[in-house]
Amino acid sequence: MSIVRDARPAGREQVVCHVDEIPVGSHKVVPIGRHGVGIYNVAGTFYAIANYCPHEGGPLCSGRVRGKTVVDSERPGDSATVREGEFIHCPWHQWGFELATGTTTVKPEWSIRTYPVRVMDQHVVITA
Amino acid sequence: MAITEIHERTAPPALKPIRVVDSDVHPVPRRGATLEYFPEPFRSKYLLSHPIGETITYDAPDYFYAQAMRVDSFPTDGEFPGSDPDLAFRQAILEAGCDIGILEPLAGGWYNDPDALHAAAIAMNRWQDAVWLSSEGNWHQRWRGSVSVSIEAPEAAAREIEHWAGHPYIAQILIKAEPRPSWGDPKYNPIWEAAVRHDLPVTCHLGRGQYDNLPIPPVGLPSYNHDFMVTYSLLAANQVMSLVFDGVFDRFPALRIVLVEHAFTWILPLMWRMDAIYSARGSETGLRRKPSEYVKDHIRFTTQPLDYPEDRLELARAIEWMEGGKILLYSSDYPHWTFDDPRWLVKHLPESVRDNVMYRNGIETYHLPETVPALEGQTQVVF
Repeated sequence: MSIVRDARPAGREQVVCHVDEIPVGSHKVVPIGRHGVGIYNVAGTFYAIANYCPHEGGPLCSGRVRGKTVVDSERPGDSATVREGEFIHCPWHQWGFELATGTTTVKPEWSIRTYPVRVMDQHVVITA
Repeated sequence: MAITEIHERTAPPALKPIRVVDSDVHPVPRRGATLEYFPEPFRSKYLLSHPIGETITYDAPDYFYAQAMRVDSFPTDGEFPGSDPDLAFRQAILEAGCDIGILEPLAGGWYNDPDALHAAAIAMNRWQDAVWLSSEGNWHQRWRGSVSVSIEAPEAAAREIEHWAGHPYIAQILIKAEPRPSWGDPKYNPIWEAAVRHDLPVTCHLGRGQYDNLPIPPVGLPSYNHDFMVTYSLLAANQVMSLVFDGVFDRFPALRIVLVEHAFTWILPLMWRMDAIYSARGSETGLRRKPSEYVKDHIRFTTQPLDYPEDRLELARAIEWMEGGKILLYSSDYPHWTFDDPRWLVKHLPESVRDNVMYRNGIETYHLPETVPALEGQTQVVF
């Protein structure tokens, strides 16, 4: 693994894996912190979110990645799903969290922690 | 979290005290698994000749994938959540930290014939015994099962209770609330009789019935499924009133009833209302005691689903007012999506009732031992 000298992981940055290990649309849970961190590849951008749901402590990253439902009176059922792949929904009670920000529409004051992620020399680096 | 793979199905000799009794775990048969236990002629007539499709009446979030279950509870063999005893054991006992799980198989089928419903109950009981309560399925001694009976056939139900009474891992009898007439009707006496003879509580898990058994409110069916679900509590409230005012607890002073997943906060105003009617009517009711005393002595309610306002203090006060420490039983509802983790639930209980609700009431209700074999790696719920 070659690392450009002046862009080595610094401070609390950790090199987690090679970018090829997380193809677009997939994720990987890495053992950082007490509950782990889920790293998601959403259309080429990486996001990292704590693997812990603030509702009842469920394993957030075992859930399904989906979009969010919005009102759309043009469609049958008056609803549509938008921004597919940008939200992780907890497997227990389906609380949805925006991967980029960790916020949930269920209870906005109960956001979950996200971590800065960058790609450095084909490797995923997270600050955690 | 890494779990050691357990290969030997023998209970460890070291014991631990029971700290969490989970009053609602759902075992589910793998497809076709109950076929061998189904008595004829019902097996051929109902199961082998009628492929059953699914009618979706309950629209939980992401239903197409989650099927109203915890998304992480689907076994890898493609069967339904709750069908793999090992996965259920790992998630409900080891990971959640419940010491005992009371199994509530949801028996019954889409037929109106009492004998066929009785046959379905027989099949469920035999399957439960073979898969969940056997020395292989219950090697850890953490499951307790239910005798499912068809309340529509009380005499046959009593015979089924006799058959399973004395089984070391049977904890309760399971009936439905939707059929008419209500539980106070004397036709159900054989069931209460068998229950008190063997000192088994009679439990009812919520159900939505079918056809004319749908729990229709007095003003007709509600507009949406989500408000229909509130009628489960109203159905239970009506059965409680029938038990009390039709004198079932005077006929059978040792009878104990458990209402599972009907919520419980409604019992407080209902007790107030029944007590008010009783104090106005006095001896006309034929009751020997206040209705609320019957409720607190004879009926138990599970904590799941927990209804609560924004201010948790209001829930704590309500629990104290209804003597929740006497009447509540913790339950998880594993593997449904409405699952309540015990570590989360216990935080919502006032401290004074935690021991009772999390395990003491469960031990008393289901006649459980004080200790169970200790399991390596089990989460300890601390409170």
